Amino acid sequence: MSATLLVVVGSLLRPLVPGWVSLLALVALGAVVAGNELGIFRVPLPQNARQVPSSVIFEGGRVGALWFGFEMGTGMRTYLPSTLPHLAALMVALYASWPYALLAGAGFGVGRAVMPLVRQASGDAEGWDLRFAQRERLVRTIGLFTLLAGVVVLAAEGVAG
Amino acid sequence: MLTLRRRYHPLAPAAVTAAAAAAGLATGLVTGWHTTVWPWWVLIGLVSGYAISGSV
Repeated sequence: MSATLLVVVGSLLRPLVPGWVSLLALVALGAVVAGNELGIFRVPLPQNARQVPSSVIFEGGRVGALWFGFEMGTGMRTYLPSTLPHLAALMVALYASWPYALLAGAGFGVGRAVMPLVRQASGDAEGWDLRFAQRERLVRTIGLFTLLAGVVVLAAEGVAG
Repeated sequence: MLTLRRRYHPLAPAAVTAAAAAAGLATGLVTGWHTTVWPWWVLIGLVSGYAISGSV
């Protein structure tokens, strides 16, 4: 749903925004995100830094739990410990067609699910948290460079195409 | 036990995505970038979703 919204907004903006402005915006946000993830500086980016209240489940009737999962899973109402999604969102808004936006959205959902699943499957959640804390900087750095590789390739294809 | 810990280590998913990115770059260089477009879209979604999961 988030990917759909981004494509709608992006589709409205794309005819009005010159290609070089899109590229400039992407490079500028990429620099901010890289600085944040590598700990060089801290530039806060927009986020709805609140937890989804459990009342959503109980007051939401049959769809309460589904709505709780939707809000938390999409990052609509949660804390964002990373700024990588901001860059991915701008990428989708500026360059994704409908099918590609849906693919990115599906990937995002899988990525959200992987961490709790791996943590649970480890059989030692507390130990897992400790190992994550010890390696968090490395996880963030790997994620940053993986995302940047994708952004460069896709932006180059978007510009070329 | 050691194998299990490695398999479910917090670095494992990040390492898998990094390996996928390296494979995508290698494939793109050989076959042309247009052939790798859709997996890159999946990958940027995957990486950003994993990044905000924190330590649960």
